[in-house]
Amino acid sequence: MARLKVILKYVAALGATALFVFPLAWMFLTSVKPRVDVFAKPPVFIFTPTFDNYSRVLDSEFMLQLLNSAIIAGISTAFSLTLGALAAYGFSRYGRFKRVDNLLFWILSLRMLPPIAVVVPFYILLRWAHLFDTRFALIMIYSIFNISFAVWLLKGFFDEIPPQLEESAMLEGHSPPVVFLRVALPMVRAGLATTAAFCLIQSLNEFLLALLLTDVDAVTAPVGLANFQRYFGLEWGQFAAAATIFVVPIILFTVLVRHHLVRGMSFGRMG
Amino acid sequence: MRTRKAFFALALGIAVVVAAGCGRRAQQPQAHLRILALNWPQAPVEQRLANEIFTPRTGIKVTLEMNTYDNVEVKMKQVINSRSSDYDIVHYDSQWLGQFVAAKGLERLDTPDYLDSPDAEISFDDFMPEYAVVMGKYPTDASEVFAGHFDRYRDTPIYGLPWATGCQIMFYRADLLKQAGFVDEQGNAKPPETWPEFVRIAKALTKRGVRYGAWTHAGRQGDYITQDFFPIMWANGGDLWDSKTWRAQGVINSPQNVEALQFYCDWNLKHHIVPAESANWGNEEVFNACAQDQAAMGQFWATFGAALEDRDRSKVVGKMAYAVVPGFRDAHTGKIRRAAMYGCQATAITAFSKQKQAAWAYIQWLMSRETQKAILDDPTSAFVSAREDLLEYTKSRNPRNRAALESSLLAHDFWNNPEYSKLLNIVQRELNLAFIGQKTPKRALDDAARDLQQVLDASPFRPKGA
Amino acid sequence: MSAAAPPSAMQAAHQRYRWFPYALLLPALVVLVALTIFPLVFSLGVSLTGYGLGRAAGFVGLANYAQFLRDPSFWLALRNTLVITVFAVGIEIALGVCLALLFRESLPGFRALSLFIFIPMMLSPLVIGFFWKFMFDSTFGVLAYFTTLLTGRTVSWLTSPRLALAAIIVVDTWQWTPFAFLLTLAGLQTVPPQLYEAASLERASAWMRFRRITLPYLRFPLLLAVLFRTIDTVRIFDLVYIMTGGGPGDATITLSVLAYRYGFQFYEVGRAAAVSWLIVVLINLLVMVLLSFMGKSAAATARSTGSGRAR
Repeated sequence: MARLKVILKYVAALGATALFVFPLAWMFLTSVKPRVDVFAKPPVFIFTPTFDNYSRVLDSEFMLQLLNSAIIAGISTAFSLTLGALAAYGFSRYGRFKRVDNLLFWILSLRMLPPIAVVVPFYILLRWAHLFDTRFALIMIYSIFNISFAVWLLKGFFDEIPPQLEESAMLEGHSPPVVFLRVALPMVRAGLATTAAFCLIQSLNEFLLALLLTDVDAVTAPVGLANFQRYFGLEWGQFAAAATIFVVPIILFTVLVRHHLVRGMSFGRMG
Repeated sequence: MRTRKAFFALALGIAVVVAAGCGRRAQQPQAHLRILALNWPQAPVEQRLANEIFTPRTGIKVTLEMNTYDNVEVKMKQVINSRSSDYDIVHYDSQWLGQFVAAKGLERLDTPDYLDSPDAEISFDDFMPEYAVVMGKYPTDASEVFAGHFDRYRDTPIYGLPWATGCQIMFYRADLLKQAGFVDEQGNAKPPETWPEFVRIAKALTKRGVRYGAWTHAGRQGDYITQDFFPIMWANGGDLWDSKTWRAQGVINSPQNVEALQFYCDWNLKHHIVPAESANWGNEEVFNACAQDQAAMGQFWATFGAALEDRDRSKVVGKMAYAVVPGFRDAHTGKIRRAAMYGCQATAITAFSKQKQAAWAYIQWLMSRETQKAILDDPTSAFVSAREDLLEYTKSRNPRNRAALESSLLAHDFWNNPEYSKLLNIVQRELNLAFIGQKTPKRALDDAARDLQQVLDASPFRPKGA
Repeated sequence: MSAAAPPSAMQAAHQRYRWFPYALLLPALVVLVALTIFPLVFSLGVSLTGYGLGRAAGFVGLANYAQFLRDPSFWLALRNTLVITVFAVGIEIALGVCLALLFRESLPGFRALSLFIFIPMMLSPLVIGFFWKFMFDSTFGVLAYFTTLLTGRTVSWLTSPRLALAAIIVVDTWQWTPFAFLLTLAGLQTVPPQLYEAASLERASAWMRFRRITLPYLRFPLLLAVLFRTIDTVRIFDLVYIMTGGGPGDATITLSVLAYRYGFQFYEVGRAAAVSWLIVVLINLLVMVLLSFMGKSAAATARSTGSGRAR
């Protein structure tokens, strides 16, 4: 009976994985298919792969756009994580008042505005400040959404920490900042990793603001992907190749983070 | 205070890192023209020629920033709205002209600075009026222009010159028609002359599971379904609106139009000669259907024909033939009335450019006989020139050009008044609903007429006395 | 803070570090306010005008809002948005929890497999939109190929009003279930294993174990997931725009697509801003409902687990 359960679990797990992965597999297949086979009917599964698309994409300006995306997402995440962690801790330890609750809600509400509403004012603001088409502009704008997310997620993680740990540290004579850095922060490693992962993913994949607030210099990868559209439609092979190249570093990062996630989740056993 | 120092260090670190992320635009060299260009196949050819000929000759660097059709519209609106000098030259679709002129975004060209200058190297009369007047002059009355009354627009302001010209033509698979016996006396495939004939042939060619007899891009997005339906509507004698009185009510929902719409929707709902997904299809899907031998004939832009001859993309190389679109036979006169969908884009100087004279120098070079001929000579350009003195040369380049140029006399276009986007959205929605059978053609057109009239009545751009 | 009275040494420490809470909160708040004050004021202000391409930007008061409340496309967009949000978020959470429970097992290879499940949410929305549109296409799509093999009929997903909406829900769920999955997984890790040991000693059923032990620790991650997914799904845009453009007709139009249409096709900035603020109002209502539920269950959690602080 136990053996059957295990087999069922494997079937379910493999089935679920297949469900979530097959479009990615199809995307990869498309990137190595000869152009004329991409839309073939019936769908072609057996063909001679070509890496033409990859060489073309690696040669094109997409790689620079990828670099832009990486820089923007990386810096925005680091910046937002720092400010967000500080604020989250502040809300968690010192935020027992109604007014503070409203502040917290306001931070959440920043995520509610659809990008379309803010494109025009940001466009005007950036032009006025001569920051149109700069990475700095996108970093700061993405930080709005990232800080909002970081504050909420990390506050919950900070709330979970048993108060005795900090109290005993303070009784030993450590100052509150030290308690924050040495005791509280390490305990929410899992939260930091999770927040970092989500902030990175969201910043890397944001499209509308990147499209309308950049031109040549600060163009990001999602906008670059859109540039694979030709007059007759998408250049599917190159598009798929570029998308695959784009997703690989994200997957690698998640692998690292996942490992850290598991390692960091040990405070529950300390209680 | 170690911890306070730590906080300051952290803040400083963040500041440094953030500053490192800054990327300012590098200083531009003098005289650099930026063009907001459509990503048609002629654009890379133009860029190459500009680099090889124009820049060495004048010292002016030129960059064509190629964008999709939708992106050009959005970016141009953003540029006009913010009055920015980002782009010196822009390509616009004839349908957008009204909006851009109303927003004062385009430079007027019939002035002593440009076309009326004694040193001007080109003249508006160099171009075929069938194309140039509708896309270049504003305001014009489309029905009068397409009836050939160009002389009435002698003094109308000019805002742009022809950049890409063409009409939708009939694409058909000569091999399949021949196989099915639709041939003329010489044994060559004979394309349909009337729309009912088109349906008849398509039915014969439709084989379930193998191929559909026809295609149509009946998608909700952009202007897809209107592009395919309007020619049928016009050929049946109907029209979009009365441009003199700004009336849509009674015009777009006329009995002829209802009849035409029923005929068109039956392709999907009754005869099943077009793919089931057509109501979500645009140019890309139709192109793929063509190239993958999934559909046999239909209306399409001449430009796409070039890509169909590319062995890397297409399974129907050498099998496609081209003709002027079919029409409807007039019961009284026996003559066939045809109408083709006009599809032209013009090039213009933006009103906020800081390098207008340099831009004008470029446009003169681009519109000259030598340059237009050079673009025609490049087989990848899929270009149709609007210059009168290149007419025969253009026709001789490939069979599509012949059909496209012959269609120029049959062309009709959308409204180009400033409310274009709203009017288009309404008609797109209603036609799409009729095509999938959610509304009857009469109901769809009545609803469209009601909503269109509402927009026209409330428009601040309505001319006095309309 | 615990109920015990702090000793005077701690009180003295608190006095010296009075600046600390401000140092914690101010950086983030200053940055956020500085970045958002102009866009918020501008977009709110412009929603009260008739600002648009080539139009005079006269003050029109609440006319833009009133116009939308009378527009049938607005109500259609509202209905579609709510349908998509409720179904997508609901299925994402349910599926995410089930997957997390499944993959929590320490069977060999499970950890590697679980990584693959994260992939959909890492892909660019453009990639997802174009690929799924392609796959749903009844002529070219691989989905259509298999369904035709199985059923013998051609099902045209994206041209049927109901199926098109379903297709969007399917894709959104596919994309974001990993989000709920990840958060739930994080939450599952916080459950003290001693509780499970105790439960197995008492021979509690799997369902009992889930309800009494696991679920309280999942309340926070799940409610966070619901909160953020709701906020994001109400604003859904890329997917709908690429897959159907709001069609057929307006059958899949959402509030954000409507805002885009007014903002970038008609270029009526004032009206687009008005729709956007209506979206904000809607999200606010939904979030307030969710948060009040969160407050109630948070209190319940604090009582039942006796750990952590009351939120």
